[in-house]
Amino acid sequence: MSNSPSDPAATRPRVHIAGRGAVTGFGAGTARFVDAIFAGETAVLPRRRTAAFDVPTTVAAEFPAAVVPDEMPLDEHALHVARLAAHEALAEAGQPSRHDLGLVLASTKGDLTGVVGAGSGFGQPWRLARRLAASLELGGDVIAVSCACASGLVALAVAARRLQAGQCERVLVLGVDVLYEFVMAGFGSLHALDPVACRPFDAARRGVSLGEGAGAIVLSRHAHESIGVAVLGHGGANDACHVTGPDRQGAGIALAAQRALASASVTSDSIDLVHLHGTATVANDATEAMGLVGLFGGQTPPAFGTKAQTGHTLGAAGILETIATVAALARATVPRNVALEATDVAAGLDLVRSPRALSRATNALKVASGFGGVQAALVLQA
Amino acid sequence: MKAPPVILAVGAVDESCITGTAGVHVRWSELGSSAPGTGRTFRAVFGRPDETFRRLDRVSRALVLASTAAGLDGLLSPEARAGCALVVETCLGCLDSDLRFAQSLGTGMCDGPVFPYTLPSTCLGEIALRHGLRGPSVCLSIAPEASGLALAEARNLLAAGDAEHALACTVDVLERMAPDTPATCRAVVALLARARADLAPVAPWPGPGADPWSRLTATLQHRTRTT
Repeated sequence: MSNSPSDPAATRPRVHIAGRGAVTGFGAGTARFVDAIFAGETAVLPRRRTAAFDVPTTVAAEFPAAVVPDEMPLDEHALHVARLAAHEALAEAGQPSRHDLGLVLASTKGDLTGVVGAGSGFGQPWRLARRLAASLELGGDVIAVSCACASGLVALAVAARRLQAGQCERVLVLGVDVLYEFVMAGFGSLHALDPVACRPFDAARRGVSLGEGAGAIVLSRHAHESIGVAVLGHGGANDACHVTGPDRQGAGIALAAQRALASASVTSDSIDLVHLHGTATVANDATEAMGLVGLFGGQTPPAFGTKAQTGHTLGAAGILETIATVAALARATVPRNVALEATDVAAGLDLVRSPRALSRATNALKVASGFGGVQAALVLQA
Repeated sequence: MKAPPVILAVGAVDESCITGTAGVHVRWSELGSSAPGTGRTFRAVFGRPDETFRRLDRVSRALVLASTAAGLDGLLSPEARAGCALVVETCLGCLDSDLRFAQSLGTGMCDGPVFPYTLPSTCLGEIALRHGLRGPSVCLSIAPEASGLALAEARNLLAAGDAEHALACTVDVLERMAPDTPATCRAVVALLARARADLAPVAPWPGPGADPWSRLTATLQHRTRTT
């Protein structure tokens, strides 16, 4: 993909991050989330709310009871945490007018009530998006993206394209998923759950630890609304080889990243840090490392993942991890990879073992993968 | 607004037939089965095997039949297909598989092979791997009144320069009756290209308005009658 002046990509207007919100296993608030990431904390703990689920793991990163009270009906969980994240992001963005504010929701299953338990979510994210837009009184277009674990980054790209095309001024992009036995048992049935806390990129990794999360980002066309970071480029790809497993050489994730770099009109040597997908499955981490090491010519910039801390929050992961990447740029520091001791993935992946200060923190790459072979990447610029 | 994309091919599956601009028009009554078919339907319609068609869920079956009926493998080179974007919209999502998987949990016999098909991006992956589509991939969960959003997103992808071609798809398949949804089977795919004077459309861009997919399939029915 070229970037000559005649290419549409070369004339794309910038898309700015104007607000952030986060609700995770650490609690509510972006500051709490980011501070926990940089402190090396983990929210992957013995299961409490999900303790009765018949699933082959002892841990999950659940919302604290202070955020989602035990007595809250199941069909309110996703809406509640999404609203908390949205309100925080809208506040940071200076409470933009909502009459034309669009919503792009990212979720794997949205609200599963109606399939499990009483309710009418039916695992169809558009129903949750509609409820959320109504409760926030948003007057713009409402879109729901469901691209499995890549949903968050795909949603950011969908929103960015609409902004760049001049179809709207601002978009609230919100990723959310809560834990159901349905989802945990599904991962268990694929032998993809680590019985104990997950260890991304570690040689002893055995699979995913799941988590709950809601992340919100307000994207804007207007530079004066920026928190200081822009979505410079985005890229997507499909592995086109298997619906649940990755390309064995990591070609798909590398292709998505390459397209994001081209979209941003930057080269790989201008990337200062990478936020990894890092699910902790044997295949994902090995192939992700291979693909990225190849993309960067044998040696990546400092790289980190956060799923050992937040759990895999599925549809929320891409948004929350973009927020973590923004924080790494802002602090000019790459946090350490929690739970990593000895790795067996490609040696050129520079997995950070202790917080590393950067002499330059301008451009960051964020990648994600999902079932269906979906691959997505973003380039962020401070 | 830039010129709309050119529609190069259309394929469709509904409760009466499988049809596409590749010249396919087969009624389910001729096949002796009902939409979206059995494990043998692919070979019966296209005269060649698809080794994994049998294990597909009903949503993926419908999409695979529609995309093959559109004939995109004959229209685009492997290189062009490798850059082709894929956008799928669905209202019902994976409700059949969701209910089946939930039922299996209830009996204590977790039906693992069904789980991937509870994610709507899985059907997208089944299309991608069959046709070698390695472009950006988007799966949209849409309200009934938002029909056509995949066409709009595909148009945005092309206009942004993120792909030269895009396969836009809608799919809704439901076997059993859910509380507020009737049984249904519809899959429509449209292969789009960035507007170029040398490209001949098989159908006009459907434009705004309710259910643009119906207008595309109406064009397809007209072509079938006149050819």
